[in-house]
Amino acid sequence: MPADDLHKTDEELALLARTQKEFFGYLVERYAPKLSAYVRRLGVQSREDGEDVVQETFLKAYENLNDFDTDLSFSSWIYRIAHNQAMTFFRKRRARPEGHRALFDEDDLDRLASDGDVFMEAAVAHDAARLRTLLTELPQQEYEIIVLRFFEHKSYDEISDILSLPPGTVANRLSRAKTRLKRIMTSNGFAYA
Amino acid sequence: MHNSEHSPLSEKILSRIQDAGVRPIPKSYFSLRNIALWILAALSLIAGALSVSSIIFRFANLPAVLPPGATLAIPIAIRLMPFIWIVLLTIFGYLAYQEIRATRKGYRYEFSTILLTLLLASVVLGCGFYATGLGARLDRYAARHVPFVGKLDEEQRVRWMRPERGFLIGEIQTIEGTTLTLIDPAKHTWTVLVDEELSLESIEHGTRVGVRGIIASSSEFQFTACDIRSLEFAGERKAPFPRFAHDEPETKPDSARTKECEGVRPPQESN
Repeated sequence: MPADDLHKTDEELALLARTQKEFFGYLVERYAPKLSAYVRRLGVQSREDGEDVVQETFLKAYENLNDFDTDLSFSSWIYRIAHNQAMTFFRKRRARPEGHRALFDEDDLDRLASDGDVFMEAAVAHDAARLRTLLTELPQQEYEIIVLRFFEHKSYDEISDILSLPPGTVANRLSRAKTRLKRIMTSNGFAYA
Repeated sequence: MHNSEHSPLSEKILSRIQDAGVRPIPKSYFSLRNIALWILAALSLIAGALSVSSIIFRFANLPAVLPPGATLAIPIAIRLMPFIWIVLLTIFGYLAYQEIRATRKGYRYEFSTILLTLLLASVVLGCGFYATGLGARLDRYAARHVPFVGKLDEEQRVRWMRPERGFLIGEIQTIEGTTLTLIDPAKHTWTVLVDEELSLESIEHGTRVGVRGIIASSSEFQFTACDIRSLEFAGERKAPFPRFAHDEPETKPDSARTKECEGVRPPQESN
């Protein structure tokens, strides 16, 4: 990649890619690994399926480049497409994403605990293995929000743009998700509050 | 710039784009789509506002259907309620909400914000449509063509056209001093003798009136009026603004009643 292009922002590359396809390659370079991890966390388990979903995401993104709104970050826009493609994948396979969710590694769980929640910190410290399993018991909508907030490090506004939800709804859903997670944890023997 | 600078995955994706001949969809398509969604939302809002105007028309005129003191049987009241308009308002409100949500930035608006804005806009526009008479025309159209929608005019005619019980409805033909002529729905011309004390201010040629009184001569279609009031529906050309005076008691004070009118009272007052 030429040095000049290295310093271009995602948004600049997206605008250039509208007329010069090669610039789109740089965006693929930047986002393919992140999106692969994201769709895996959403529940697309096999490597081949994950790659297919990511490829479809980029094809869709390329086709819709002119719909990219520069008021949004490119990241939010491409994550939205990836999310929609993953949901389409589950629909086509008639699969319930809940049954295919990825387990999280230690770093992921540390992020969940670093939210300043004593209960979560204690749960991660004492029994991270069970917490991993329990996370997958959340309903899909709440699970997605937890993934975006704690494992993809997205802000409320970014989550709003990715899931096409009003920011207030994102905040409510996240709060509900955390409450439910604690309830699930408590009913499964966690008692660190 | 060269494709070999990219990773295998990027190469694969760029090749797929190349092979499938995928091109970015023109910007104009997305702009037009967004504009179309806003137009659809506006049309849904207008349709909802038209429903509101008919709802106002129904509620403003239900009292005009009944003679003073009379009550409606529940099945008839249900038939006269503007359910169809409430259902249509709900449907168009839902469509407008979905269309706004589908616009480029529509998802950022909270449900309550969209709902309140749509409701407020529907009511404001609906009041405007009502004042221009659109609500009345739509309601009449629905009453003629939609099953189970009661006709306000017909119910008013049935309720008021009972001369033997002291109620008469008709359209004013002439006014000469305290004598006026009116044509009832059966096309009979009645001569109505009006007491001097009664106000005829709001009554003019062509006005649909309800008369409370007694038959002076049934063979000659003569009626003595103890009370007379306009029965024109509000929200129409003749009376654009709502008024709720239809169910007021008879206008003639006790002290001014003639001997003939002494016993003429709405049912609940005579009890």
